[in-house]
Amino acid sequence: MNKLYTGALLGLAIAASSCGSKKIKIESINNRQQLDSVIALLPKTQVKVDSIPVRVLYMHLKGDFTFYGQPVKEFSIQTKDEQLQACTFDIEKGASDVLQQLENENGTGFKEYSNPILSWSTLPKKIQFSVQDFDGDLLTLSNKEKAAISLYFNNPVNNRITNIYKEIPPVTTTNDYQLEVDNSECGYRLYVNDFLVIDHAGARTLGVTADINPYLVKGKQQKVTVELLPGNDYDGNPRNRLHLESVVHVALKKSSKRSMFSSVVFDFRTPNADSMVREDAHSSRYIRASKFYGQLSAKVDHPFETDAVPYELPCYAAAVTDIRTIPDAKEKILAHYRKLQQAYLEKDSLQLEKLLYPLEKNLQTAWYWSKPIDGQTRWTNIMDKAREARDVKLEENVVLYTTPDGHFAKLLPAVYNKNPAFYLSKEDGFYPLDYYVNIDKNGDVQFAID
Amino acid sequence: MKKKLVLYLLFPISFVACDNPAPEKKTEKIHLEKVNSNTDILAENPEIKLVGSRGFSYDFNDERFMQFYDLPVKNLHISIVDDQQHIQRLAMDLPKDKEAVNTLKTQLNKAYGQPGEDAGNDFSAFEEGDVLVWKGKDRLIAMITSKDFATAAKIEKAPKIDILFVKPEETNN
Repeated sequence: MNKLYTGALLGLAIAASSCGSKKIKIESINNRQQLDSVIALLPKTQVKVDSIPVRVLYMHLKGDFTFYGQPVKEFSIQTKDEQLQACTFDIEKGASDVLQQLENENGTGFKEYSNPILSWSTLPKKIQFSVQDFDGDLLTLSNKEKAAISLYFNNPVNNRITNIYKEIPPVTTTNDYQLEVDNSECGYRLYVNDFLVIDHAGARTLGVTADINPYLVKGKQQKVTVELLPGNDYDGNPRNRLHLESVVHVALKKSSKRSMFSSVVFDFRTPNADSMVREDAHSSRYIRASKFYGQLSAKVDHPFETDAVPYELPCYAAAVTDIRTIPDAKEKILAHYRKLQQAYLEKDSLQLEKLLYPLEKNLQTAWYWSKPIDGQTRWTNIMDKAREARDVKLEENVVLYTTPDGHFAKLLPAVYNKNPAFYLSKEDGFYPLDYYVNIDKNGDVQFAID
Repeated sequence: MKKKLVLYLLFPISFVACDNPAPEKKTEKIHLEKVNSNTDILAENPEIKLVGSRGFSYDFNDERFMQFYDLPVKNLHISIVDDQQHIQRLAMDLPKDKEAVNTLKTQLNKAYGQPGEDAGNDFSAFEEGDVLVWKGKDRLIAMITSKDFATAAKIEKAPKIDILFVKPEETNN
């Protein structure tokens, strides 16, 4: 280890002399190795280790530091599992200059509150700048004021999932489409372009929503299908046939990260007619009487147009096999789900990266996640899920739902269940993992669409 | 070990490296007197960072990038109409500066004529204080000041501007 620190010292000295400065710039510390290089330069008396809980280390460092040119005499830093977590320090004056430098380097800060606190999310870290002991605002901020800085490190990971953003072609639209569904006395299944999006058995539920970008196809022409089912009554008892008031109301909204406003793309109800029913000798009421009253089920297609969707998801090129023609398709798919189950349970990052890469590529394309920080966020979410997992459950009694073209399939519980066929349970809820799969030309199963 | 040594030699170079080239600041100042109910502030100013729920309401807290007439304003709140396609209301804090506020009154008088009372109770229901209302073709503009605004030596509570966008015929009553 001594050799390593010697190397670090040597490198630091060379680099420092090349820039004509001996002060250590805190803004350039982005990972553990760089921190270790700093520590190696400090006398032992200037490094104070506060406490060492399990895998967590708190340190206070004193020395001749700077942050964007302003002197900093000491800072506190926290590491966890050998990685940088957070760093905090004060700047006694020069708040205005520091802010200007931060904005020159990272763009305009995000001011979430009325207090003079700004933040920047960059790839290596989130930076938070707040002015201390100050009654004014950013318009009156001067260099007399002192600032407190907090750095929260991201520890960027370099893998296939975090690099997907490089494979996504830039687009000019970033529309997000969301369905909102109300139903009366029926259950329903709702499909977008034949992908099952919502499976809902309960009667009289308002405001069930689903984000549908991943189910949209390239171009403008799309289709939503409502399958009316007898479902359960309001008390949860199953019905045998469609109730008189079996009506589903579907609206689609479009929003964009580049607009304050949203718009309604369509708003329709499954066929019905207002009808008056007598409740007793003295009263009657109007209801929405379904055209399909008494049937076992019914399907209603509703074509609609979106703004031109600019992408074709990569899974369409990979999904060349008709899953229905493979005799042991269900077993193959189950085996693939089990691999993911194992990977999550063992928190196996390599296997998670391998299994989820095709899925993530489709998702990041569908949601226009094309910035480096988006890929990092997705990977962090995956590993957070793995860490939070109390259990990963694959239902025993499942059936295979296949899209009508045979190219995509997902597992569904054989009997309606409020949980999906495959999910990760954590302390305060669950994450569905029942992704659609496709089978490529080599016969390999891949996760395709969430 | 050699590989690790090379890595350690390389790491410090990045953290004492000379400054990166500065990206250009793109955020422009929003002139709130020019906003109408159809103005998509985010579409016109893609660099601003609004806080809030898409299609319902937003806050914009960066006083450096907004003004009402010539005055810097703070704590902008934008309410959206239920159709999610129009602005219903803009509320903002003015500086605690009597002279600046009086200058603004003069500018509003020039643009909209003399103010009246809050006859429709459109603003008094939300804010305590003295309310002056200017009527425009598509908007009611209220200035809300504390009761002691004219006499107090030091203004404690920031005066507010609250703009309610209305259909043209609604302001004729």
